[in-house]
Parts: sequence; C-alpha cells; structure tokens
Amino acid sequence: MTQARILVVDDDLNMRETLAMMLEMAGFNAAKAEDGLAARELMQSGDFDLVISDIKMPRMNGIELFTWNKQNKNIPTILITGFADIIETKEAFEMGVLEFLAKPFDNEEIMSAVMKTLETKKA
Amino acid sequence: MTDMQCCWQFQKCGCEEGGSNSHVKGPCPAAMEKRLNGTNRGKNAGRSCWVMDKTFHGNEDKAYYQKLGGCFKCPHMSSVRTGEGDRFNFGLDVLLADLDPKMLSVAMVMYHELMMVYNDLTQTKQQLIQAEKTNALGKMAGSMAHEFNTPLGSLLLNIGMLNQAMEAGNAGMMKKITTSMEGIAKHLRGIVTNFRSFTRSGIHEPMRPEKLGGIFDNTRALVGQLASDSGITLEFKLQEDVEIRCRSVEIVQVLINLIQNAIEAVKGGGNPRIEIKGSKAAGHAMIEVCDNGREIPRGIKEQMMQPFFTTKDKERGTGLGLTVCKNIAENHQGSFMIDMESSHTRFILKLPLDGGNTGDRSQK
Repeated sequence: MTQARILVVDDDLNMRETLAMMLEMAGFNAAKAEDGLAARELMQSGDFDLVISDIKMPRMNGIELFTWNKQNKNIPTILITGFADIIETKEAFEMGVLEFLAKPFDNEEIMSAVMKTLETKKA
Repeated sequence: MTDMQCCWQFQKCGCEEGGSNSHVKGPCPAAMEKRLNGTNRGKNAGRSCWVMDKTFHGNEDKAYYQKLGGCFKCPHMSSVRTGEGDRFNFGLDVLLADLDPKMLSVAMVMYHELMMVYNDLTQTKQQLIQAEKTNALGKMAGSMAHEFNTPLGSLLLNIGMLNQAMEAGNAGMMKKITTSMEGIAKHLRGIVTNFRSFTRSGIHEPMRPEKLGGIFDNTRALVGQLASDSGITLEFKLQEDVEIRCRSVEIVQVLINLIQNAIEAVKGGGNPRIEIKGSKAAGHAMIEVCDNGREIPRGIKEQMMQPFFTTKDKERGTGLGLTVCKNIAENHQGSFMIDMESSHTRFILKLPLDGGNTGDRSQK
C-alpha cells in the first residue's frame, strides 16, 4: 500500500510541492501536474492509484478532469478547493467523487482522506 | 516660511526667474507676483498661481477666471489644498485689496460659498470612489477566499510535516520544510499588502512616479484569480514600461473596474479573453482594456459614459463605475474614453508621463 502512486494536480506551486512532499514522507510515490491537461497526459501514459486534484485551474479544471477520468481511467479522486461552496460540493458528490476537502486542511485530514480512498479502491 | 514646493517646481517647467526656460518669454507671472509672496508658504504666487492672469503654457492669453476651471483639477492646487488644510488661502483677497471694500466683501462671501460647494462636491466624489471600491471588493470576495485558503492550507500541511521531521530528528527535512514555509509566508504577505493598498483611500496620498509595470502587477494580483475562476484568459502586455505620476491605488481601481466589467461581458462565451495593454503615445502613457465579448451597439456605447447608466440589474450595478474611472482619470490630468469604432469593447485611459510636458499639467 505504501508504494501507491498518487498524482497531485494543483496550479498553486506551493500547494502542489507541499502535498507531494508530504505524500513522499508518508512513503507514497507522488507525481505532480500543474493543471487538468498536464494531469490527463500523465494519466494517459502512467498508472495511478489515486488523484488529488484542485478544482479551480486554468486550461482544464478539476471537474473536467474528473469527468474525463471517470470515462477513461476511473481512478479514485479526492477533490480539493480553496473556494468551497455548497453547489460545488453537491456537484462533486453527485458525479461520484468520494472525498472532497476544502482548503485549508491539515495533514491528518488529507491523510485520512487518502487512506480512506485507497482502502475503498482495494475493497 | 516660503520654502514649500511652488508650481514651477511641481511642474518642472523651468519658467521661474533664472529657470531653464525663463529666457524664452521671461519668467512666468506666477513666479514674479511679490504681493502673493508667502501665501500658502510659497514664494511669490508659486502656491497661489490659480489667481494669476496669463500664466505660461497655453494660458498666456487667459485671465485667472478663464483658467480657474482647469486649475481646480490641477494636482498642484490639490496638493497645496491638502498640505495647507485649514490654513489654505485662495489668495484672491490679496490681489483685490485695492478694490472697494464693499465690493470686496461681496466677492469674498461669494467665494467662500463657492468653496463650500466645491468642498462638498469633492467629498461626494471621494465617497463615490470609495463606494465603487467596496462594490469591487464584494465581487472579489470569493476569489480572495481562494487566494488566502490555498497558502494557508500549504502552511498547515508544512506544520504537520515539520512535527514529523522533528520527531524523526531529520534536520535536512526540517530545513527543506522551513524554507518552503518561508516562501509561503512571503506569498501571503504579498497578498495582504496588495489588498491593504487597494482598500485604503488614495485621496490623501500625494501623486508619485509609478511604473506602469508595477501597476499591472498589483492589478493582476487582485483580479487574476477572479478571472481564472471564471475560466477567462487575462493577458497583460507592456510595450514599454513608462513612468506616470499618479496615485497608484486609484489607477489600479480604474483597471479593476474595467476588468470586472469585462469579466461579466465575456464570461461563458467562446475562448473568453481580456487584454490590458500599456504603451507610450504622444507624451502620454496609454492603457487599453479590451475584451472579446459581443459587440456593443454604438447607441449604448454613447450612453455608457453617463452616470447611472447600467445594463446590469440594480443589485449588481450602480451605473457609476465608468463615471468613477473618468473622475480618476481627470484628477490625474488624463482622459478616459470608450473606443466608438472598435468592434470589441475597448476602453482607453491616457495619463501624463512623469515629468512629461503634455500641456495638460501646466494649467496654473
């Protein structure tokens, strides 16, 4: 389990690097993409066990990426956003997103979401 | 004390006695009027030039009352009024001292009444600018939350990692994490500084030389996220980084007003795009804000610059945004207009270059 490959997608450099560093520290294998389009390219060429994706991003946003992923790869996804509102949350759950986190969140919250999502996939 | 900044120093015209341009037509009358020496702590009429007839730079054939309208918009007069506060002396009574005392007292009563009306109008105009700014901030609230929450989230994650690294005694990792935290904290400080500078009122600030590039950076920091959240490409193009004399807070406010309007106009359209271009043209800095929204009919364009005209519903638009932009431009001795010929919406803001002799700034 600790060698699970996780793709971190966020247009904010600090958040992307911090999340990847945290996941590496926890023993995961982390890859990074700066928006939905870059993430889609990585997902086409490699296998991932989990995607952690921001929603508001240029070129291709997190919802669009999730829609493509659901149709093509079906990799479990955790959506994160700094601008959480009830409509976005509702939309995300209706589309089948298992975990949705509003920034700012701490290590325990994100790690708990990661472990829960990976366990769900295994089951 | 007569060592305060006089008009020839403010305008850098060189028309004072012995100045670099005084050999052309002799010194300017404002520099020579000894009866006004000391008025508003200036040398001769250097800080009361608005009551002088035939001052230089296009006013050679004008009596003071013919150019007074322009003087009320002049940044030098504004700076003297602000600097002197309650001690401000319009200066006319000195020049009219030889008149019949009865006539003079009638004239002075009329003058004071006019000044009261002028002060009220100035105050109302500033309240209007602040009200529009509050309106702009309201529209930015959502993106502001995003701006703050993302770096705050990164900080929280870093703190968690730092605890783990400390428990493991991993000095290399601790160093890496604290470096990352320092970067995030500086980023947050930048965001706070930007918002603080935007929310303060600019009216009490002196005009300063500012680079157009810096003004573009501040604007991008404030509305970049809002555009990005709406899926809109916001492109800043600087042909030449010129320096303008301005209150940067107010110029940023003009750009934010225009960009917020443009966002509403292009949102949901195909390939929505807003361009902000900066260039130098005929002694002025020119800023253009263009969007690729639907073409606005000429009739509506003509009405758009009128106060209280809005195509938005009453909840979202006051109809005063463009009026505020025009006021700010005129306070800077500049101009603000909509391009009537362009098939896209294109606003043009022209501002005098710092130290540039454009003619507009030389009203005395």
